[in-house]
Amino acid sequence: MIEIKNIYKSYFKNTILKDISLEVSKGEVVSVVGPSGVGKTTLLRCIKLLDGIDSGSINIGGVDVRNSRNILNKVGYVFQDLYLFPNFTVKDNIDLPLRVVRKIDKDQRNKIIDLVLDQVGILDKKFNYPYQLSGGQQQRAAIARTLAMSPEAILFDEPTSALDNNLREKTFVLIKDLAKTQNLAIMVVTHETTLAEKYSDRIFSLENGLLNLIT
Amino acid sequence: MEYTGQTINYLLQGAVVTLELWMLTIIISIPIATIVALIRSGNNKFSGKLLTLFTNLIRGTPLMLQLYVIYFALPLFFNITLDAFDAALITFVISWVAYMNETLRVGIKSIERWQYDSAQALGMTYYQTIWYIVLPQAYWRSSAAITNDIINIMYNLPIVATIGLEELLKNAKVLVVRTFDFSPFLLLAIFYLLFNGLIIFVGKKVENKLTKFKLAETRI
Repeated sequence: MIEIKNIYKSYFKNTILKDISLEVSKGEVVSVVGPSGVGKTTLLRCIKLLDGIDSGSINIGGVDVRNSRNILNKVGYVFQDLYLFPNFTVKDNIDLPLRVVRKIDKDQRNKIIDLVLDQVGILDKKFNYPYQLSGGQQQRAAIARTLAMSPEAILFDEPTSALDNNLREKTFVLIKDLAKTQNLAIMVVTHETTLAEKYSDRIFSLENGLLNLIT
Repeated sequence: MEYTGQTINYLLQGAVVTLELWMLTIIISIPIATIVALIRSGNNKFSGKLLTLFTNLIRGTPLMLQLYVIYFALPLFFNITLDAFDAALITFVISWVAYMNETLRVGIKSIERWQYDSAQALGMTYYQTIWYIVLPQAYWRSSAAITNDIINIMYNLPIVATIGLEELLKNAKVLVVRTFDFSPFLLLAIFYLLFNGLIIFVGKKVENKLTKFKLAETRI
C-alpha cells in the first residue's frame, strides 16, 4: 500500500533521512522506533508530502504521490499533538473534511460521524470542544476524524506521547485492531519500543538517518 | 431649543449621511482588508511588500490630508471629479482598509502552523483552509481591535464636513450657531454614546466566544 524507495531528506545541509526504503501492506502495523530528534516525524511528514523530499519516490497504492496529490487522501495522518481544530466541536472537526473534501451529503455525513465516534468509543463526546476532552479522548477524536475520511493507510506520529501507561497500551490495541478489522496499512513512529514490539508486525529503528529492521 | 419637525428632520438628515458612510465603509472595507491581509500574509513577496507600502503610507498620513487629496487633488491632476459623498467614502474605505488589514494580518499570522498542516493532512486545499479554518479564527482573535476600528470610523466621520458634506455633527453645529442653544450637542453626545455602546456590546459578545478558543489552545 505504502511504498517508499530511496528517499533522502536534508535540513540545512544536515541529512535527516538517508536512502530510506520501506513497504507497508494492508492489514499490517509497521513501527519505526528511535530516540527524539532522529527524524521519525520527518519520515511521516515526507510520506504525506507535508515536507518535500530531496530525492527518491513515494508510492501509495502503486501511484507516485508527486503525480497525483489526490492519492494522498487515501493516507490518514494522526499528529503527535492531535491537531484538532480548537474552534470546532468533535462532530464539526469530523464533519468539515467530509463536507469540503469528500463532498458527502449531510445525512450520510451524520451516519459516518456516529459510526466512527462509536468505533473509537467517544460517541457521547460528539458535541464537546477539544478543550473539554482528556488527552486520551482528544486522541480518539483525532483517530475518528482520520477514519471518517475512509483511508487505506494511517500514519501515527507518537500516538502515546501524551498518555498514561494504561492508555498507551489501549492505543496500541486500537491501532492493531484497526489494521486487522479495516484492513488498513498502518505506520507508527514511537519511542515506546516495548509496546511497538508487542503490537507491530515489523519494527524498524531509525538512527543516523538510516532505517534498520529490528524484527 | 424647541425641537420642531424641521430641526429634527435636519438632524436626521445628518444622521442618515453619517450612518450611510459608516455602514458603507465597514461593508466595503472588511472584504478588501481581508484580501489585502491574506496577500500580505502569503508567499508572494512583491505584492506583499507593495501592499505593506500602501498600508504604511495610509497609516502614516492624516485622514484629512487623504480626504483633501481625493476631493481636491484628483480633479486638478487627473481630471477625476468626485462628489463629496463619493470622495468621503473612497477616503474612508482606503484608510480603513489600511487599518483593518493590519489588524487582520496579525490575526492571520497568529494561527499556528499546525492548523494548516492538520487541514492539509485531511486533504483540504489552501483556500479551503483559509476559508474554513484560518479566517474565522483570525476574525475572532482580532475582534477587539476590529471593534476599535469600527468605532474609530464613527469618531472620524465629522471631518467630511470640511468638504461640504452635511453629516450629523455639522448639522448639529449649524443648529447651535443659529440658536445659541447647545442641546443638539447634548443629543449628539447621547447618540454617540448609545451607538458606540451598542458596538462595544456586540464586540464583547464576539470576544466572549473567543475565550473558548483561547482555552482550547492552552489545553491542546
